[in-house]
Amino acid sequence: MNIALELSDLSAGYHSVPVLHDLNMRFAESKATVLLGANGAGKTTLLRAISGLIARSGRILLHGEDITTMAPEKIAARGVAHVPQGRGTFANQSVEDNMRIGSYLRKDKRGVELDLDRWYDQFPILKERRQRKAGNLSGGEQQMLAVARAMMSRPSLLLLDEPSLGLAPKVVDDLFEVFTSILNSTPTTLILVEQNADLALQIADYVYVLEVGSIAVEGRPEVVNDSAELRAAYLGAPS
Amino acid sequence: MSAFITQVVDGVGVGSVYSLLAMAIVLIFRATRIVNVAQGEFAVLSTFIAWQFLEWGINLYLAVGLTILISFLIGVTVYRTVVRYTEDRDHLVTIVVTIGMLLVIHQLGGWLWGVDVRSFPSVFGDGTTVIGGISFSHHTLATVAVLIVIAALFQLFVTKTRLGLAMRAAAESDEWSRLAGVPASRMFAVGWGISLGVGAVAGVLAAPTFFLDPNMLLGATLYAFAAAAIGGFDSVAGAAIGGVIVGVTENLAGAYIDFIGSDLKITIPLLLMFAVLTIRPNGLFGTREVSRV
Repeated sequence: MNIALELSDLSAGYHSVPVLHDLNMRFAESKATVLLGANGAGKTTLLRAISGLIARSGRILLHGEDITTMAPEKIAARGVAHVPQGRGTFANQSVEDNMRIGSYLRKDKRGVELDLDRWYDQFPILKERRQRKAGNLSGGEQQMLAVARAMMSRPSLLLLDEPSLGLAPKVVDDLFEVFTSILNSTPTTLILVEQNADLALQIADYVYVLEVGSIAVEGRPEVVNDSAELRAAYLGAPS
Repeated sequence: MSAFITQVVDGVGVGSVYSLLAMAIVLIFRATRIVNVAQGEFAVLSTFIAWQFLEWGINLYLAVGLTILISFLIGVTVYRTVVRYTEDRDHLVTIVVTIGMLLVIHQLGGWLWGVDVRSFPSVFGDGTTVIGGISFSHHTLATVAVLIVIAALFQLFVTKTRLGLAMRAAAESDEWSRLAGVPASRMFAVGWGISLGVGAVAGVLAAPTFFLDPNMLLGATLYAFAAAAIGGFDSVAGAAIGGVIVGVTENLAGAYIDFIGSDLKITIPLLLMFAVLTIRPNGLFGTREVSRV
């Protein structure tokens, strides 16, 4: 099994307040890994450290290359796409321009047009609203746009921060179908932070449970199901 | 009637200078959300640089071209060495820093080149054309043309080019644009560069009629801010139109309202700005921020 991303003794935080403590993690290529944890456990911080938005120490290897000290735009150029919490679409730009910002780094014009069609096919509503400002879309449409925009860069690693937050269950189901199709039809590796653990665990290959900046539990998705405590904490329906 | 038209034409001429300065202000604001109080002083500095080239015997057109290029580089450098370090701070910090730059550049101009009032040749000569009994100076006509061309080019640049798209993205969110691979900091530097380049054009076009000295654009900068606010502060076309409105209103009020004369006419653009913003808080062409959570 190939490793897409490897973190060694990763510590990170904001303005010298440490949030993550000496994390050691490995993320398998072309698989989905889910990060669970209570609010404040450091899930968002971990994604922000990987994409280079905050100060970090330790070592981050992306496909074997050390990206620990790189600027976010350089990390993006190496194939990391990050869909931040709260959508991360450019509200004042049109849907189409948002998509083109996603493909900003690509030089293959033809491939970009093909991908544009591919993602418009996946989300026909975006095609219909391509000239509208992203800020005028509904929450679900904005999340689709955020995912499509990220995919326009043809990322090797896609970081998704609570994509289901605040969305209707039907929309969430649709989104997870898209994640499954991304996993099946592209070599993309997914790291998924989710509150909606039921769905996330269905597509996950591996799970890390974070508690106050450290790894509490890790393993195959079954570890959550097998533990009454984790089930109670992260799965909606008692079983 | 022809006196009236002459007043309007003069107003458009002087207003075009306000428009160009207002565009320079709007360019930086759009690119970086910073209100650059020192915009007029940078334009004066650029004009002094052009004047110095002329003193050295360099051809006028070449001097102006070099000045625009140097002004672009000054913009990039100022962003990289000063402004960048204020970005994470409160807006007040950046404004105070630009006020500081205003004072420094103002004094620097006086120190290097003195406070004498100097004449500066027009890039477009000093000919006039008489149409229907009204004389139009070539300088005024060309200034208006330059204004329109720059506004149109900029519009094309931001809407049709990859760099323009990246600048819009960076302006909207530094962080998210970087996640998409856009080097946001470089975009901001380019924004400052373009802005100071446009400011240089404003200075060089103002100098033949305003005459060059360190105070050349103090009043004009004030008017340019009024023009930018009237136009909407984030609209380049709005700034262009706002400047012309301010110039014409100022001129007509000075000429036809007795008690205003040349002393009180400085208040006119500010009253106009007040009136426009009362009715339309985002200015005539400003975009209302779209945000939805």
